[in-house]
Parts: sequence; structure tokens; C-alpha cells
Amino acid sequence: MADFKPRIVAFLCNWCSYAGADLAGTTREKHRADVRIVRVPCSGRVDVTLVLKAFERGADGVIVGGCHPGDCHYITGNYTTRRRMFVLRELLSFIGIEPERLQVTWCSASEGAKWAEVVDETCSVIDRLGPLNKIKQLTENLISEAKEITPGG
Amino acid sequence: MITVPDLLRRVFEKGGETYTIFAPIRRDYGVMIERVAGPEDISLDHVLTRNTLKDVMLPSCEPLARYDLERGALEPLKDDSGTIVVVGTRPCDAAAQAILDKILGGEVADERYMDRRRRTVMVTVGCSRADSACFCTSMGYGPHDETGSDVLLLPAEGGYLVRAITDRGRAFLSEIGVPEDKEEGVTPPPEITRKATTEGLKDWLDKNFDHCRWEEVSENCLSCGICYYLCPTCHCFDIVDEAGLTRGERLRVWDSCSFKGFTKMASHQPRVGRHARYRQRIMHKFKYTVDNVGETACVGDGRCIRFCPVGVDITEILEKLPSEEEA
Amino acid sequence: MVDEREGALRQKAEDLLSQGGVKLVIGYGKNALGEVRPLLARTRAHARSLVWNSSCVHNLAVYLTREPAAGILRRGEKVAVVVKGCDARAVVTLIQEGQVPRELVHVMGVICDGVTYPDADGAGLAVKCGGCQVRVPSFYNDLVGDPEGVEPLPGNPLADAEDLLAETEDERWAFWREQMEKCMRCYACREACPMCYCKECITEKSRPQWIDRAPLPRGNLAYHLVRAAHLAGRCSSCGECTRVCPVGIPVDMLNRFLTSRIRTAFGHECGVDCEAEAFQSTFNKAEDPEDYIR
Repeated sequence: MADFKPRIVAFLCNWCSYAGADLAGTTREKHRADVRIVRVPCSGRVDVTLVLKAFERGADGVIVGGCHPGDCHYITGNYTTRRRMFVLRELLSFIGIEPERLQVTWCSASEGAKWAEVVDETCSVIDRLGPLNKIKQLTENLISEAKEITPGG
Repeated sequence: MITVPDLLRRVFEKGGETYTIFAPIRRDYGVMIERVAGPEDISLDHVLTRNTLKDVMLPSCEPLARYDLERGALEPLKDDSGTIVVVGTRPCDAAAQAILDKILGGEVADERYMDRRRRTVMVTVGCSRADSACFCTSMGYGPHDETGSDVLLLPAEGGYLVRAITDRGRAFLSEIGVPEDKEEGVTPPPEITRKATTEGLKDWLDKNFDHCRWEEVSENCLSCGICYYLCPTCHCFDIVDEAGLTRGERLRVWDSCSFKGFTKMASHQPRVGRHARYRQRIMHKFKYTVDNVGETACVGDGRCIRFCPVGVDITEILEKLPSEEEA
Repeated sequence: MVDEREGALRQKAEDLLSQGGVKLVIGYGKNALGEVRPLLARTRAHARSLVWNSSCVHNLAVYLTREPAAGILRRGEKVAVVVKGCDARAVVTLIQEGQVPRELVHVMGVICDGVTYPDADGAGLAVKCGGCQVRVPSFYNDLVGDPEGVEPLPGNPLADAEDLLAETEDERWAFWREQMEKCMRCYACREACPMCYCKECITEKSRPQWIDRAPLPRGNLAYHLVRAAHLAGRCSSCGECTRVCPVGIPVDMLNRFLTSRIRTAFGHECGVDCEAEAFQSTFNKAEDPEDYIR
């Protein structure tokens, strides 16, 4: 699958994980470029709808990044994330989509190196799992933005 | 005299490559009328298919056009289904098409629907059985009614007697090499036990938009939408775009006045409450369509009664509305 | 032979309407053909038409958040509702979530032997009744029926989900894909669900459009997954969503699966204790699983 470039969307909370990703940049931590970041105020804002929309519209993987438990800027947001993402991974697995496509990470504002690791590890997981053709195949006859089926997925 | 599978075989022999053929098929949750690839799977041991001919004539999701901003292209999508042959629909569903033809035809016609209708041959199979939800006779139809059919197959001993109803039907029969049967011997139609009365209804509807009885009769209703989607004469639709950033498709999809969002506007929601939405259902079928095209938009197929999860019964309601009794 | 629970229900309903300050009893009645359907009883005459039998399949809690019951509750007046054990869970969850005031709902719990669906042709009890532990409702103001010696029903409530889990990921996907191709987005599953009481469902939101409107598999999958996720920890396992589906999608399998995972992983049981906290808006700092988190 040499031609497969994973498309991964990351929902990062403004206060910790987004800042951590930013730090990775300013400190020149090398990591793969396949992740597109969407900044949210808190990981607790990430509803299942956002994650599913990302998968639906062509993402092969999704990362949700939040503050470490106890450090949430809004005190309790990430605790609800923890429950919600657990449920979503179970649901994905039940319907036959690999739950590892949804990676959740606690990454603080000072953990630039960790962010780089998370990116590289997630990219290699998605490399191994391949493109999420199952969802793309649901809309074979529609042309809206779902990318062509990549062989090998 | 012919059996339905034999007739279907003749249809496939003549036009298996060129016709788009629909027939009833048994699925694990019921009998559905669907596109068929061969004559083997047809099922006729049912009273009525769960779905209606809307799936053929007014599909629940129909692509209208496609666009691509990068190429600057807008491409209308045509329906190239050719000659459509429906084998095995029931008289109530065929009659429903005749009503929809009046609503969706006329001066401002729904071209896609009317185009499909003009290319359709309707081979209806008269009913040998009915169930307790059927009330076609009260709406002016019946188990052996010919309204809306091009060919009508009437049950008889050992098979069906073939009757050509329209010129199109006659021509089709000669194309597939099935002769018309002129003789008698039709098995008497099944008895339709459920009755609905529309006496005094139109007058009452004309005058009682605000009557408190609307709330009473629709109390159980959950506004779930099943009766609208499974009704052969309900035809409301919405246009939606399934789109990405630069490419997309414009689709026509079914809509229902049971949904809260149906009449919701930027300013306000003019139709508040489940009773108001149920009132719309009755008004549209028994008053507005009568006023507009001279037809009652109900054929008495009974799906709304059969599939309502909470026992809302239109025949009961039609009787209660204009009645003199106190609440 | 009329079940003695029916007589007890009728009497209790009459009492509540005439002396108990209850304005409405939501129960089961019969139409002219003897088919069971919900009955909103306001008078003693209505109360005398209440029925109880194995066709009382509906989850009547769904009427608590809709007019006329919602209006009655808003005015500070009381509503009574007839519930089976599964339905009682829905009432408790509505109370937990602040949708229905505890002191204004009079719950008439009936001991249930399991229900059969009307067109089931002798197929026995509904799938959702398998393994039922709540034949005696765990929450009620009045209990109708004798709890002495009542045993849980036989069967495994997760049999179908377990069969699916025994298959490969790709086989599971093929199964759900087929279901999503059938779905015509009538939303009956949502409207029949007592827990789907949002005034505006996220499906209806068009700016932005999170869930596609068209009845195509992609949007259908989003709708069902989002609904299942929004019901996580709240679903009463009443099975109504599956019963009402006109195209035979086993909607409630998703919910029953999640319910069992949530029970194992979080120790959370839905609809048991009015004072308990709602699953999705609370958390256990020390014990919620997080080994899946990097």
C-alpha cells in the first residue's frame, strides 16, 4: 500500500493538546504530516457526531486530544470525554469498524514530544489498517467528497 | 387463464434485457415490491406488499442533478429506466397511482413522475384475500377494481383470468404473447369487513379546522411518520443536497407533514402540536385534494392501520370527526 | 379469561381519577377488534376500559413528555402511567434527567409475564423479554399483581448481539450495511422512544448539517450510530424501536449491546434509582476505564 496516505483528523482541545501540538511545531519535533487538526475549546465538546462525520467524509482515522484528568480547563470536560469515547469505540467495533481508528490521547501543553509520538503511532496504525473503504463504499454512487476507493483497504 | 409466475416468465422472455420489472418478493420482514432480475422469486401469498408503488414511481431518494465546482459542471441526471413493468400490484395500489397522476400531473406537472408513469405498464393482480385492515370498498374501490391498471388479472379456478383494461395493456399483452380472457368464472372477491364512512365528513372538515376533537382523535399518535411513508397516496418530498466542499448531488427525498420540521420556518412554527399535524393528514386527504383535483387521496389499502404502532385507526377517526356525540 | 391484574388496574385507575388527584391515567385499552393500544384515560368510564394482557407491548412512558401529559405536569397536576418492568426504567430515567417531576407521576407497576407481538404467529415472547430480570418492576407507587414466586424469564437478552460478535468484523459490517440499506428514515424508532425527547433532534439541524437527510446508507448509519450513542446508559431496553421499524431493522440490538458493555465497564444500570446520576453527564474520576487512551 505504498500509495496510501492516511487522512487523519484530530480534534484537539484548545488549552492542552492543541498547545502541545503547537509546541511540537515550535520545537521542531519531527512527525508525519498526515494529521489535520481541528481546534475545539475542550475535548468534552467532541460529540460522537463530530467523530462520525469525520469518518463519514473520508477520514481514515480520528484523534481526540484532551487534557490529563484533573487538569481540564473547564474542570470536568475530559471526564465526560473519557466515557463518551469509550462508548463510541465499542459501538464502532460492534458494527465492524476497527476501534483503533479512533485514538484518544491526553496530551498536555508541554508535551510536544508526546504529540509527535501520538501522530506517528496513529499514522502507523492507520497505515496498517488501510483506508476506511467500508464507509466510502456506502456512497459509491455519490460523488460528494468521498474519495475514490484505494486498493488494498 | 394464466398463473402469475407464467405471466412473469413471458415478460422476462420478451423484455428481460430491456424492461425494468417490478414484482413482489418475500423478505424476512414482509413482502416488498422490488425490482426483480428473474421470474423465480415472486411471492403472491400476501394480502398487500409492505411498501407501495411509490418506491417505483416516486422513489424515496432520487438523484436530480450532480455538480462539480472544480469543473464548473452542473449535470442534470435522467431516469433511463425504459419501459417499467409492474407485475403483482394490488388494485388499491394501482388506484392510488391514478390519484397521484391527478395530483402530480395537470398543468404544473411533476415531469419526472409523469414521465415514469407514461412508460409504465401496470399489471395488477386482483385480491383473493383481504385482512381486517383493508377498507377499499368504502373508498369506492374494491378487491377486483380496475382503476389505474393496464392489465388486470382476476382470480379464478386454477389461475387468473387476464383482462386488458387500457389500450396500453392490450398492446402489452400482445407483445408478450398472452391472450386476453373474455370468459367469466372469476372467483367472488373477498369480503371487506372494515368499513369507513365519509358521510358528512367533507362538510365537517370545511367548517371545523379549530375543533377540539382534533386533539382527542390524535391523542395516541406519536407523529412517527410510518403512515405517511407507507401510504400509497402520500407524496410530499424535500430537495436536499448531499455535498462536499466542491462536488455534490441534489436529491429528492420523501418528507412527511408528521415531522415537526416540515412547516418550521425562520420566523416561527405555524403548526404546533401532534394534533395539528394529524389534522393536516386528514385535511389533505379528505378535503384539500378533493377541492383541488376532485379526488379523495385515500384508497383504503389500510397500511396506516396495519403499521401504526399505537393503534391510530383512520376509519374510526373518519367516523368520529363529524359525529354528533359529545367528547 | 380475564387476568385479575386487569381488574386491579381498573379499580386503581378509577380511584386515582376520582380521589387521587390524578388528571390522566396512561394505560392500555382495546379497539373494536380487541387489539391492544394505548389509552389515555381521563374519566372513570375510560378507566373501566383499561386492559392488561400479553399484548400490552407499548412503552407508555413515551407519552409523559408529550401533550396532553406534559401540559398536565407543567401545570403542577398529576399523571398516572401503567408500566411493565422495562417501561419503569424509562420513567426513572426521565425523572433522573429532570424531564418529569417525581412527585407528579404516579407509577402503576404491573408484574409482567412477558409480551407477544400481535403478528408474531405463535413465535412466543418478544426477543426483548428473554432473560428479563424485572418482571416485578423495580420502581412504582402501586404494584399490580403478586410478586410471590416470580422468577426471571428464561433466555439470553443478548443472544443476537452475541451471535454477531462471534462473527468477524467484516461479517458484522456486512450485516449492518444491509440494515442501513433498508432504512428509509421514517424516524419511527426515534418517535417511539421515551428517551428521545429533544425538542430539536440533531438530525434535523441543518446549519450545519451533521447527519445527512437522504435515506442513503451513509446518512442512515450516522443517524443510527448517533442515536445509539446518545442513548448510551439511558436506554430502557423496551424494544419499541425494533417493534415499530417498518423494514425489520433490529435497531435495539445496538442499544442492548451498549447497555451490557456499560454495565460491565462502569457498573451502571439504567433506570433503577431516581436519585442516581445520569450516565453521560457524570463520571467516576478514579474508576472510569481509560486503558484505551494513549
